[in-house]
Amino acid sequence: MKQARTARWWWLTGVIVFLVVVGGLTVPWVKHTVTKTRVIRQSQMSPVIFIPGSSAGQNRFDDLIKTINSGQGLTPGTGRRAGAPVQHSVVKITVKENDQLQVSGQVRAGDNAPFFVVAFANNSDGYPNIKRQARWFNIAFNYLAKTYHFNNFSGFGHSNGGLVYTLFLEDYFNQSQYRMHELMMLGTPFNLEGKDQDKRVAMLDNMVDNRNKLPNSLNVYLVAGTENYTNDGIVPVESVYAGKYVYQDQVAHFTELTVTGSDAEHSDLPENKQIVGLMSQNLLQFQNRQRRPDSGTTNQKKDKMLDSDQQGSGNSRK
Amino acid sequence: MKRWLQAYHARNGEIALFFRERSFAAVIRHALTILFPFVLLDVLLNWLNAAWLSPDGFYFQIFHLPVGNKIVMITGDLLSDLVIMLNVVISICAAYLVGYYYAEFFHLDKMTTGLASGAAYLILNYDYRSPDNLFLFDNFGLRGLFLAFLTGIIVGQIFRMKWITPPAMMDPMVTEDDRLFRRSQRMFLPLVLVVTLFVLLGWLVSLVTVRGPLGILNEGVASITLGKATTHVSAIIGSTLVSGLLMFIGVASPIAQPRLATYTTYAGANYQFAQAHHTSFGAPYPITLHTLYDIFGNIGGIGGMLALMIAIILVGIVHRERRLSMMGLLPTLSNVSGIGLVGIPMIFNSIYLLPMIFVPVFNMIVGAMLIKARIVPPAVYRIPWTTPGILQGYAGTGGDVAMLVVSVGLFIIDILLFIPFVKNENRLQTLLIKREERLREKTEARHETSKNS
Repeated sequence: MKQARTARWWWLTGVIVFLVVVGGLTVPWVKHTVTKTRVIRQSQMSPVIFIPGSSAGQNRFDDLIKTINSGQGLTPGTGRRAGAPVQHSVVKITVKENDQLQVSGQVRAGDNAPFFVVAFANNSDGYPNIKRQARWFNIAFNYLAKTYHFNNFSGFGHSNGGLVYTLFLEDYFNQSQYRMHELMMLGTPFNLEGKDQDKRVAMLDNMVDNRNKLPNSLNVYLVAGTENYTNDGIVPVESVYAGKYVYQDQVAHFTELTVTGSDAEHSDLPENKQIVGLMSQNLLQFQNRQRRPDSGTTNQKKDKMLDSDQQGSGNSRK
Repeated sequence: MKRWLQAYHARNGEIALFFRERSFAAVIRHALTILFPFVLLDVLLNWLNAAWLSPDGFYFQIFHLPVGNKIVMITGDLLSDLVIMLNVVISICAAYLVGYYYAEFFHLDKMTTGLASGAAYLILNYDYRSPDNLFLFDNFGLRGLFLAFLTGIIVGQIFRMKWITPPAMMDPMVTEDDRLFRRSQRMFLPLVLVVTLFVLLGWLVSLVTVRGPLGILNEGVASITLGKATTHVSAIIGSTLVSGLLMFIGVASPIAQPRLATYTTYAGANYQFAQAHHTSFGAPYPITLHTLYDIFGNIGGIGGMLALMIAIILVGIVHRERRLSMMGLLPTLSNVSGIGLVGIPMIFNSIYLLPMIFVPVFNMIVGAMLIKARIVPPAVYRIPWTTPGILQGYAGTGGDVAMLVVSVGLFIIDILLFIPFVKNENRLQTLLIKREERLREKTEARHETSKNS
């Protein structure tokens, strides 16, 4: 009995000594490592922010969002949670000329991939106006990021919306604070109405000059619609593809796509089934692709965890 | 108060004795005891890997082990592979042993029942959705214990059914081989039933979730308890209570894994606040699962297990429990809690049920009050989950001394809270020893009389 008791005290003393050593080492560790690591951790919420084109308001994407939420056009097994399509909540913002925001809608609790639509009261065309719209978008973006605490997102711009995105990324976007995963642009006229790529408009020249400010981790999809071989009824294909002078070799991946057939006309592009499919593949799936933070499941090897930890996707193995 | 506690302890002792004599509790207790060496190895390797060899490990960081060192990395990878294999072994063995002892209890064919249980567990956790013939490795290991118990008992029940197992035919005119053959033949029908049932179950589950039967359980519990209201003290305490009860029946609860709770939108906002203001006082979400459960609830280890182990080392007389506490102290300090769960065993041991559930809750209530009164700041910094519970508050707040003092104080109170329960276990142990001695005397006396006559 006595022996057991001394063993017990030896053990406890050992443990206390160990704790003191560990505690002593913890102090400098906390001071130098824990509080100093400036890891930008990705927020769980990762919205998709939509910008409509000129002459379009905040309700421009209603049909598109309805289609996505109803699960149509999604490739089987993607974007679904246990059979039912993921419901994205929608918040719409219209930025007025006096920088005021008019906000409607709210994000459902637990929705980590809400859709934000940012439209402008003054939605006219023209380079000076697009520049103002980029500034207005920056105001709306900062409001959204502050309100919903996200630091990573994806973007979708229709027509001039893509130009607004490009100017925003070049002039306002803070890469040390936010991370943009994917940007998809539909029928965006980088050379405005110009068909000839040799004759660049001033806007395109400026965009090319500032291209080094674009985030180089971004994936860009540039989609052109064609009714005939030259345009989508409004925007010439060449003007859309002039986007390559801005994005190619600057961002991580740059993909140009041409969509033809029914609903390939400029204003119909957002409702085009193929484009909905492209969106669900490219914009909505990145959350499943990216590694979620180490959940510490001891039973799985790190890369395996990728697969099993995505609650969002039905069949996530690729 | 004192009298009430005494009455409680007496009653609790009776309940524990009552539990001891139930068939399923006895079966599970026996199975866990045999399983323990595997669990010990699993836990130690897991602890070595998670706390010492992985770059996210607490000891790895404070001792500044070389990042990217080949030897450290390879050893870590090997260990994590080994842990996965051991997890598979543990789950199958647990199902096997439960089936085995269940059969022993009801005088069935032990070996076949056990084997069928082990196989049933594997079948249940086959990944029916994967194209590559995989098993759901997440469902193996200590977190799968409850499922293993259940599998063993269900299989045992099937083998117990009279109509499906034809009675043994005694024919003295055959050889040993023939007898063995006949014995295994009898088991064919129940085996077919077991396999069909579990394939069907596994497949049905796979229609609903990718994570298998445990996934249903964990996701369900998580969505009920955590839901969206993670900044309400009452909701967090509620989920802690549920988590304690789940541990009691052998289910790894979704919140007892501190690392899961760390990465939320709330944590991100808190962290950004601290970065901007260089203090975590006034962070936007002072009360979250992380700041309450991880920081305060875990001060005495998961479910207060560390405090219990120290209480056992201090006053316990049960030799087995004391040895286990000494062995399990360091892993439990790093929140790797298997030894306490299986060895003490916390699972199905009603003596420690009450403190195991209420000690974390007590800590959390104190913590919530201190945070609300702005005496200590909420923890916002990212810390490894293997950080000892006592230091988690200090590290998580970026070195708040008040927090350290509070943690140490709460830890000592936790130990003191556990001591009466350990003493109760001592009493029970003396009772059991006496009972066994009396039984032995009786049998010896009977032997004597039979010899004499």
